[in-house]
Amino acid sequence: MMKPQFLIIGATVLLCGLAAAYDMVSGPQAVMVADEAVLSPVKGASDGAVVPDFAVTDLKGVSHHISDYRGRVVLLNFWATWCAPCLQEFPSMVSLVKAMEGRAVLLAVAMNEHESDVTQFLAKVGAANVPGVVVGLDAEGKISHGLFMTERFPETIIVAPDGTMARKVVGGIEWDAPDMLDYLKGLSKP
Amino acid sequence: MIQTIRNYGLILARPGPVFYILMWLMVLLVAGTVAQKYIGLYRAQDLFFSSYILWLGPVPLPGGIVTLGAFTVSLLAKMIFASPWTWRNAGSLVTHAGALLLLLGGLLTFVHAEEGNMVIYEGESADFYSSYHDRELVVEDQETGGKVASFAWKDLAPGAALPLPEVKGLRLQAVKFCRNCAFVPRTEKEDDPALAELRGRARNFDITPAPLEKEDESNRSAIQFRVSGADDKDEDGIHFSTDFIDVSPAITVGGKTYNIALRKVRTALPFSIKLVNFEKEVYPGTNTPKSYQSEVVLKEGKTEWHSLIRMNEPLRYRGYTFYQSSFIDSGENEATVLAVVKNAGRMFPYIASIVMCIGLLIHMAMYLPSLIRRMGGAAKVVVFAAMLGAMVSGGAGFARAADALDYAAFSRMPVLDQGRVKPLDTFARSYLETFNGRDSLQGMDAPAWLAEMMFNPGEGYNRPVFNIANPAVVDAMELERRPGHRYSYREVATSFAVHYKDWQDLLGAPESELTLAQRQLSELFDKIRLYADISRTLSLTFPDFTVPEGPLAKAFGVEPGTVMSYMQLRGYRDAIAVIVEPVFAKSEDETLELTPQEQAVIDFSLKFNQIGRDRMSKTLLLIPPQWHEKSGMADGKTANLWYSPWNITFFGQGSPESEQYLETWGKAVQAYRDKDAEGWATLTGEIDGMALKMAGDKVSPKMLDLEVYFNNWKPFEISLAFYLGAFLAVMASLLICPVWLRRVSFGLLLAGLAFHMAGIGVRMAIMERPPVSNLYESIVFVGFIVVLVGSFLEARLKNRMGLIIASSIGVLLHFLGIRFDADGDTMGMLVAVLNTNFWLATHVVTITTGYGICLVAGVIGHIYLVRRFFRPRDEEALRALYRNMQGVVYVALFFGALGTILGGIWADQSWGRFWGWDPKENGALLIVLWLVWLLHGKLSGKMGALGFSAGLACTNIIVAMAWFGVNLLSVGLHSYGFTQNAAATFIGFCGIELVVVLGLYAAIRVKEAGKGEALA
Repeated sequence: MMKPQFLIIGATVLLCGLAAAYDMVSGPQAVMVADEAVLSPVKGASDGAVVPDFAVTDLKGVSHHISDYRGRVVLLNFWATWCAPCLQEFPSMVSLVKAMEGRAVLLAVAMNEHESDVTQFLAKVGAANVPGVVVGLDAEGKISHGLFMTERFPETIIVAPDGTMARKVVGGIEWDAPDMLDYLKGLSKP
Repeated sequence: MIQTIRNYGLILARPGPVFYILMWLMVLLVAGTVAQKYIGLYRAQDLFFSSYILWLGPVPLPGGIVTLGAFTVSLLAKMIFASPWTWRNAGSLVTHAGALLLLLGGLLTFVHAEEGNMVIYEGESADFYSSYHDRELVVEDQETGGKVASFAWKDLAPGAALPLPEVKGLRLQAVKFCRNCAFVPRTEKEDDPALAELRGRARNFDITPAPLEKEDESNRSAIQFRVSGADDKDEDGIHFSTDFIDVSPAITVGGKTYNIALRKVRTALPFSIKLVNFEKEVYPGTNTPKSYQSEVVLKEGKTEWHSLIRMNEPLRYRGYTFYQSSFIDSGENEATVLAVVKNAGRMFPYIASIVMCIGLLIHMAMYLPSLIRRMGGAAKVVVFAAMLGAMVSGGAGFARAADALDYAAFSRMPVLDQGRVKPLDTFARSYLETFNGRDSLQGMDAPAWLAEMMFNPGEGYNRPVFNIANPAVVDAMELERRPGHRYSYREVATSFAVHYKDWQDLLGAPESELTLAQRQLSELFDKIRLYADISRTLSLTFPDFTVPEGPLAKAFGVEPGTVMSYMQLRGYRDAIAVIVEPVFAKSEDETLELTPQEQAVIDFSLKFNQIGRDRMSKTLLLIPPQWHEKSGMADGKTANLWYSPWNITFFGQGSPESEQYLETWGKAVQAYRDKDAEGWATLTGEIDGMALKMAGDKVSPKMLDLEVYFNNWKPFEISLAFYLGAFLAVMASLLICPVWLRRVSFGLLLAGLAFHMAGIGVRMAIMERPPVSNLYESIVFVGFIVVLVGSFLEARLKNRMGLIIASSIGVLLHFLGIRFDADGDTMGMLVAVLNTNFWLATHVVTITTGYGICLVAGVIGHIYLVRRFFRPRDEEALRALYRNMQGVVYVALFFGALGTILGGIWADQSWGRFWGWDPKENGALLIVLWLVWLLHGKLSGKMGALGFSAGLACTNIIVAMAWFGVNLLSVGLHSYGFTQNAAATFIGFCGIELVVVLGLYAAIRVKEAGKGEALA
């Protein structure tokens, strides 16, 4: 007569066999791709915050409040003529503003002591009288440092038409590249 | 015939052979583990575990396979011939069946499993995997890439022809080869006759055998082989190939070109895997990887599956399992490294472990009926009062300080440190502990200390904080020796400034080349820099600049005498330079004298420039991420990173919010200096609120509060006090009031246990992970288990044994834990493979529970020995003790075995192998084998009660070896932190234990032999 322990052994071996067989024939498990929660960066404290209002006087002596430009995308650019990457990217910002056809404004805050340095540069790159390009001086950094804590020039904050800060770009980039244009167009849609 | 088999089977089935087999297995295990330190895992495994015969010089000894085989046969014989089917025996039967299954699974794996790895670059696919260790020489058709012929490494022989019927006319001959080669550049001239026969790379390098590397993966194999019969006679000659880099000479025969190469053996897969994307994530602000994942497409014929392979989440298909093992990041291109395993025995451990656990549970259920009685009424009152007192003491203990400022909001502020957002309180404590060895100073809590060293350096820098206990270091620094061994930042920093030139070489030297005192000196130097770094965190907000009369005041547009901070002044950098330049020029001309006003300008500018050095301050990360974009800096750090006030601008991450935040800090610093209690409280409250708002919903203020409460409350210290009380009470009860004091002791023990448990619970809540994930936590948790089991024993037996065990080990482990605590924050983050709650919760908790119960068993062993020596006549008590010991051994075995097997399953899930002979795995197995060995020694009659208890007493040593000792080897996956002091403690502990146990054993033997007594 068969001893009961053979039953135990038999049953477990059978179980093992079945499990192994299942393991061999089953298809791969399908995990859906990209778990946003795991790998996406956190939202920063200033993303989506309303940009603080300030006034800057342009080279003709006209005062501009950033709040005057609600309804348009504002490229709030902190720069200076002693900063090489700033000068390099400046023309591409101007051409971006032109390409946006009135839906974007470049508000360029220069941390320069001498107005002449700035006017000379603007004349050189043909940005002196472009509509939508506003350049003001902030020699003591009251706006650049004191309000926006920017020091790593150039730094540019993209302000959405509703006055919220959409993102910040640090360092010089090609502003008139198609993806940036698409991005700004997307932002300026009502 | 059947009867004969049965007779032999019965002999094999006796516990006796198993007893000796187990003993040998343990010797192999220990030897094989220690050998890993010297010859590497692969060779140690080959020599000790995967061998049939272990040659000890000329003496053949059974190797791992023979030993395990004998064990399996013996087990099988027991199952078949010697297991009566009774209820009483059911547990044992089922357990043995489980063990048998496990061994059979191991056999199947050994015979059948294939493993290797795949390296796939992003956008590319692969349909083969490479072996880790096996090499082969292959002949491939260059056009199709198909393998024409291959020769396994072990079949190669120097000078022997390699049969190659597949390619007519081509003849190959191995000239020389080595498993690990040194590549020697040839110095001969081009036309040297020695080079005449050599072709291709063989002309550049000669190969000579080098000693084998510890890690087999690091061996560079190479071969020289002779080719003849090529179409172009120039190709005939000696060629060279290696698996270290891709060198595969091309030979044309009969118009067809073949590549001949030495490489790791490749095995084709019946499908292909394409890597779409590889991602890795590190803990913010560290290089510790948090997780990796590979997004792949598995393609077979026309069918495709998208799939994600992650740490602990492998992809299984057609019997193959693909695990995320590693990655290659060459900067421009990322590749994933997948471990591939095909193992038909894979399911065995899973089923076997379930079977074994059920068996052990049945067994225990029969031997350990559990009954917990209530404790007496008087004791209840004592305990209740004590607990209440302890709770209140915790709540009332918020930051004391010499001044009257309120540090509640300051303590609670969120900061990022070591990959985790924590309250400033924890930060202050862990760094104070780093400097001082304790987490508070006399009359001053850590947050108050931190505030003082940052905001009021005049006093902070003079406060004796640095613990320099080694008189040699004190003398070398020319400091005065003083009781307490505490020195101020100013004293230590001054000494370093004076001696820096002499010590420059020493401070940069690698640790291994230094003496103890030199190492401590070098550590102290690092601490000093760390201290300076932290103390200057907020210096840019300090109102430190008094504007002098004259051009500066005019340039800033302020009244002379106005106090300004660096933040307020940084916009005037150019203006200051313009004003200062002529004054400096004048100061260099010795004939001219500076006016007081000019001197003030120079002082101002020096101070202004000096503060720029603080730019490097980067330890205290106070500012949550401001922008979600990548910073645009070269290192591409994402916004998960928090910032120190100085480096936020460096990374270009400043924002209107951070500006306001720091301005408020400036005001708070002023309030601190003015001792304006109200302003300080309001402003720190505001700052705390701003930080929380900036941190967003990822940081919970409740958890920060809880952590601050936990820091102040120190439940483990309260628990320690209770255990100490319990220990004293139970000791006193041996002399007076035995009944009442036993109850009080038991009550105190339970109260301590409650705090212990609460502490573990709060830590779990703060860390959001299971109780044990590092060595510190394992100490705390083992202590908890020991006290829990001790209480259980006491409730059941009421003979004070449980009390003595629980309170003594509880106290000891708490002390040990507090020593570990002194290394800083004990709530560190985990590397990717450990970062899984499920396995931490199961394997680690089970195995540490096993450690705890083993310690209980060990102490009972001691108690037995002591009693038998001092009170041998009390036979009844001794017999009861002996019975208890056996019960505890079963429980310990249950947790030890379960924990070990769960560890194997975790390893299988993560790395694709159930068992890898890793030192820590071997340690856990050693405990299991040791306990099984003791049980079989008892069953087979090889050990009497005395031998069994002595063996059990030694369990403490085995546990210490598995728990701490394997870390000494510092090889393998589990080496989680170990210091030199701990090594000395460990060796001391084992030595003392051994002497005590053997001494008692011998003394009892001598005593009893003398009296002619024999106790069963």
